[in-house]
Amino acid sequence: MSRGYLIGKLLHALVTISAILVLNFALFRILPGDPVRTLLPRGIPAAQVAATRTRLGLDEPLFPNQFVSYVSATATGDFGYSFQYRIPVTDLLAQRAGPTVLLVGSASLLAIVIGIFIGTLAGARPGRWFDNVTVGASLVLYALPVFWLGMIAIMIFGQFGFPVDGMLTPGFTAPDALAGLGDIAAHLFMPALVLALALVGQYALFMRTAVVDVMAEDYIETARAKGLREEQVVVRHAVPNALLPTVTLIGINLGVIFTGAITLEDVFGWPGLGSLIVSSVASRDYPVLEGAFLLIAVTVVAANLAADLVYGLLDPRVRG
Amino acid sequence: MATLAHSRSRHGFIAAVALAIAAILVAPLGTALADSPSPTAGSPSAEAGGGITLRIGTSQKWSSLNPFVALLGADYQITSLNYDLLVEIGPDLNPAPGIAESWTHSPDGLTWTFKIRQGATWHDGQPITADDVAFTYNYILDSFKYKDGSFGLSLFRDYLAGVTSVKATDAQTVVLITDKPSATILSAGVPILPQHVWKDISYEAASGASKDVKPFDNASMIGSGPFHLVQEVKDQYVRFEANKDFWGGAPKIDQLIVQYFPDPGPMVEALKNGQIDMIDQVPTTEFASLANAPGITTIKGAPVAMAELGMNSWVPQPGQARAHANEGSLGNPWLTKVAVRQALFHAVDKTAIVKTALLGYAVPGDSILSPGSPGYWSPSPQQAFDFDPAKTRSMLETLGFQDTDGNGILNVPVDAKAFDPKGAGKDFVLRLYIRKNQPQDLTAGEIIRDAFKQAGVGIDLQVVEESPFLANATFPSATNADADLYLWGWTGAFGPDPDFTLGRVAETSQISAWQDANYSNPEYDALYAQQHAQLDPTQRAVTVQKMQELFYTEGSYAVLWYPYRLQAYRSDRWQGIKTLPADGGAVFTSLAYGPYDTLLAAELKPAPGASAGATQSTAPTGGGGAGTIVLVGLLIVVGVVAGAAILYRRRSRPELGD
Repeated sequence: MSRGYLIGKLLHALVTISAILVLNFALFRILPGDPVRTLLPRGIPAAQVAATRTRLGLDEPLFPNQFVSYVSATATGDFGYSFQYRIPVTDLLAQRAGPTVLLVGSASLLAIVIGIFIGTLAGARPGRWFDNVTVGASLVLYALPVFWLGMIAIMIFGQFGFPVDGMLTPGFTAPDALAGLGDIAAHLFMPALVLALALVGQYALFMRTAVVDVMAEDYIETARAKGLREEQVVVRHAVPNALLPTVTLIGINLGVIFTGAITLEDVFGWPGLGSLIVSSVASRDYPVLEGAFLLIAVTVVAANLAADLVYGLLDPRVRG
Repeated sequence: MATLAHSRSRHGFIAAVALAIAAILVAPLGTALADSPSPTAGSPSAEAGGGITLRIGTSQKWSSLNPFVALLGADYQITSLNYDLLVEIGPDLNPAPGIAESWTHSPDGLTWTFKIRQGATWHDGQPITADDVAFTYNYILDSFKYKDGSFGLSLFRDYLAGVTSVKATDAQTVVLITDKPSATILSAGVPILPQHVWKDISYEAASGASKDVKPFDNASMIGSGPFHLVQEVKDQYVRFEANKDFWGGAPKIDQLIVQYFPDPGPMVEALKNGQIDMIDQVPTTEFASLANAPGITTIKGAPVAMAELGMNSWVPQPGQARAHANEGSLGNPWLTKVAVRQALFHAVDKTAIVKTALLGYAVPGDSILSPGSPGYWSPSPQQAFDFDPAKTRSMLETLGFQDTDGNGILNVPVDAKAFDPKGAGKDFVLRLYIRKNQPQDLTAGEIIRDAFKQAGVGIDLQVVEESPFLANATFPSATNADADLYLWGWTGAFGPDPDFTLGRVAETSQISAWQDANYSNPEYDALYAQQHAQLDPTQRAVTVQKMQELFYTEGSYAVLWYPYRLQAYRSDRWQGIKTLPADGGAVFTSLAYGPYDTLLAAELKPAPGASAGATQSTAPTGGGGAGTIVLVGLLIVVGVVAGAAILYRRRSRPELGD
């Protein structure tokens, strides 16, 4: 891959992130609403409310005062304290980002692997019964509300002792790492399964369409003419080329990894970033929202950058 | 040679991708394992001795372990398990001994003397003395004299209103002096804190209101109550260990876990399949099915909370804070007239609202005190505002309202241009603010809108955010009271003493503080001051009744309902669970401190056929067999896939050139 290609992509990412920083600030300060009222309980006399507002710097002009303090704070990694929880925002985000990545990551991995496999099988023989069933089932799964799937899973698997809430069994102290892993695995099983079911249709359909397209190309004819078995044709020639658009899809989906499971986090009480964002929006917890927004934006930019680079690795035509 | 190089870089690429994926998944797994609970220093681990654990599911979040910062309902529940009050609430809702064993007051009512019980200890073993009580009260009082007063610990200020001095005269005696007799001294809901923990905490840290100083998290939670909070995992659960040295008797269980469920559906499932033992808020839609479920007992606790239709009736007075200095109230001026409010009271069908919005799980409202609180007054049939939209219409017509354009909605009198410049001559329409995420409020609001329309009053229904929009809309200090009608409620968590609700709802000094209707009536204020100073319970009860009657007939609320506290627990496994009040109350209530705690006597039912003395363990096991099944299953799947891939490669190795 040429240096120019790499540098160009990196520069593009940096510019995007700078624009996001400015937007991050503007959006949350422009929202109507008074975070001081959320911070203090009712019954506080107006004078104390005003004094608190002054002390938090919320009555200074937006630009330049508040903006300058925002930029300098972000540069030093100081995202302030959450209004709801009164702990540093960086700690809060770190605690909640991991579980979401675990849930969405494991579900996505499952969905991607199975989806690509099924999509390939379906696309290699379009129009046959396997293809029709795949397309139909994928569409149904894609359309089913994830929330509802979650409740059904709870009713079924809850009976067998699979925990229905949270990521860890309350009060359980694992005697060793394996038991701890087992506890997390038991809690992860249902939400990951449900999310994987919801995502697999997407990948299967995408891959299936790409394979059907690629199979119509000339070089497939050539490979068959050379005498390769059909499965070798598919696996060694069709799949690598059909993977390209799927890689882009994976990049896009991974970019929104943090918000990919919001409804599931609510149903299963999974302590993730999605549910944190929802509750922070409701209570106007600006420090958390600004930190989370920045995190998500940087993740999207990074994931798309990675997808671009992987694409460049896979497809020599793009490398410039 | 080109083929070899090509396939090697392809393998390298695949290996790199696999490593990246593994890293993305293993890293959070690793941190999750690291964050997962380890035994706190000095506490027995869950396995030792087979601890008995009671698990409660709740759909209310808690916010902080620092009592000066924590203002959610669930926070008060935690406080009441972990701490004690000086004077606590007994099973009949009357004051009962807490940290103070006994008390007296001087004949003029200004000096109170409390005798502190002997031999009680903090969770860390230090003795509790009068110094701790004096310290706690003075810590709060002095916070308002610190710097500009903006770090004042306001949550407990009202409980100590009028207190001028608190001193520990010896190790077992506290003397408290007020400037006027105060009937609420025995109802101070102030958790007594250990001086040796809190004396070095600055007000910036304690109030959590500073930009630069980290808020104090109070992680050690050293208190004196029957349970000691030892572990908190935010938005997941809190874990308490029983305080076996508790002065009111050791709890029968060893461990208490309160688990948060963001959605009530899984919570009910968890109760049914035994993963939890008790639910604190049963949704109205599930109550009937749980009541019929075998092995589960449901509780319909006496209501302490209240929901109302509020009417903004602010009449600006000099000295009251307002956002826009040159303007008056931005609410509809007709709501400041008692006669108009009384007409509107007749258009509220409380019975229909309770039946439709709450499925019958509430009592139709009248007084601002709930039926579960002492001193509750209810109107006689002659006084009560019966549902009669026709009467509303005729009462408004008497005041000069006429339906001049024939559209069914009465029009504001044309000659009232001075009184109502914006609305004179036009249709009489009032805004009705409904809080988001409160489906029962929305149903109630629609019923109100339809009935008002029938009566000739237009309603502009708007769904809004509770905080900060609705709060600001009702404050003259924030928006010049830019609101007309709204649905809101009071939780009743202040305690059974009527003073707090009576004052906060309708007393003039609470405008732009606790009040939302901005009601002001000198007669009501005088009665409030009177009952506040009446230490004789009989005399005080008379004044309290008069206040409720006055506000019911002339005030700014149509109290809609008092919701039952719906709860459930596994009675096939547990016994000894009490309620507060003892008769028809609720379990796990934030009003139950110390020896009156509803879970103090909770214990497992003996298993049928078990030999005497056999201990039963309900210590939490980590996911049990399910976790092992998942891990083993995962290994099998990976093994099969890897095996198939290897076999496939072997088979396709010899091939024609590529």
